[in-house]
Amino acid sequence: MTSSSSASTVRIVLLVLLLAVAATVATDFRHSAAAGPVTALRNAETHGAEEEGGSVAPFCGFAPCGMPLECDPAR
Amino acid sequence: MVATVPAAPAGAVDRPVALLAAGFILLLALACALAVDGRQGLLALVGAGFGFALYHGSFSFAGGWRAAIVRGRTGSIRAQMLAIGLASIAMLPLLARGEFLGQPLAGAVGPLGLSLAVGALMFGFGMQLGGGCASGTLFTVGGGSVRMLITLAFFIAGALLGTAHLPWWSQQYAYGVVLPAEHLGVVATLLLQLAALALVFWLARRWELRRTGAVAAISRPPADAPVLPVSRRLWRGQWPLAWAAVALAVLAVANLLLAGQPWSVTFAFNLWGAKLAGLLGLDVAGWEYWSWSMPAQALAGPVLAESTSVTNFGIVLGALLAAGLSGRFAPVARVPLKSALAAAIGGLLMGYGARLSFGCNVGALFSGIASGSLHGWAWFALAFAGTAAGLRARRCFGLED
Repeated sequence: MTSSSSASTVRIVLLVLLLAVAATVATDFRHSAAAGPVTALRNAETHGAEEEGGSVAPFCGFAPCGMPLECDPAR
Repeated sequence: MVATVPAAPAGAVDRPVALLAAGFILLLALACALAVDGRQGLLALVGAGFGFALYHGSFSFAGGWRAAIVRGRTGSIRAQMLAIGLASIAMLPLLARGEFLGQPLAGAVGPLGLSLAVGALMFGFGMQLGGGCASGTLFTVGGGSVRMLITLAFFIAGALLGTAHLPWWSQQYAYGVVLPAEHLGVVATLLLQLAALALVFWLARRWELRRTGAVAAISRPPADAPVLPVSRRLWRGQWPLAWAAVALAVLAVANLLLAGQPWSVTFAFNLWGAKLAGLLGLDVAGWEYWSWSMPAQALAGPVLAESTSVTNFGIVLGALLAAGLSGRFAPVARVPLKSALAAAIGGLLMGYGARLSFGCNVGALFSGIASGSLHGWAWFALAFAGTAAGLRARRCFGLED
């Protein structure tokens, strides 16, 4: 296989991969939309000290990884 | 191999690639706008902007740190400090205010502790084997790197594994979140932070002068870049690092205003991993991490409703567009076995490390510091130490210095 035909093959494989990802995302969306209206999941929701979640409780907001953060008792 | 774009001179515009990328960017933005809301659509465009700037500036954390240690070239580190400093100027006051036009704003904060230390060391080590950090992995995948697809796949697997263990790690020793602005006030914290960033900038500059006898200006294009007028360089690429730094800072602020949280990358990786695991019959919904409020909501909803997924898709497509416009989209299928093994190990370590350390070079370093959280600085120091060790490990896999 020449280098140019090899490069073309890789481009086609990457295109197929891109289309597969797009199709998966669309399927994921259809599946979720069937369960109810879709709203953006936005961070910054401060949770009350009485709320408990996971192993860290109480918590106030989230680190970017989704881990609940402990409330500062001074606040 | 690191997360940089091909050094070869730009060729003619690769029209099929550029048109395909532009089409998918529009499709992503429209899908988000129509299916979620207008802000989500704009967020997709911000993500594409990140990818475009990262690719055209060859803005690499992994490659930049390696160049500083191995060759004494510190342009990337200085550009990182510039970007974080500019973002801080806008983000710290915004976060102190707590909301913008009714949207609550939260910073990228994390606790100091054992989990952060172990995770940051692992991440810094892994990114030298993987060949790129989190943002670097995404933009080089968009640029056509087949090797980085391996890194990305294992990055996702590592992040998912990290979610299985994070609840345990979060119960180990932790000092807690430290936000200097709560004690010193926003203005003093901002001034202190800018002074610290300037100090790192100055130390990096001195290190380069000592090692190489000269300092490459980050306001100039790379030495091997063709001479182009500014208007043409903007879309054809090989930007000065300072351009990319300014663009990333502006986009990071836009990300905060649109999403309510700073720019972050790796939360999407655990989410994608969890959803893919579900397709393969592994139900992670019962894991403790996925019972926490935000991860549980993310898992139940579509990825297009989750901010970091949207910006990540945008980064890949924005980089693809940049690669097409610069004429440097040249994927190579052949990946030596040892290099592929290094990519897999590096990806796993980065994914697991990012989860333990509450983010990556973007969520913990860039956004953590710009949010005024001390964990961002701790992450920086520990990941840099991990990188120094990772550079030695590269030789075991026959990777170039």
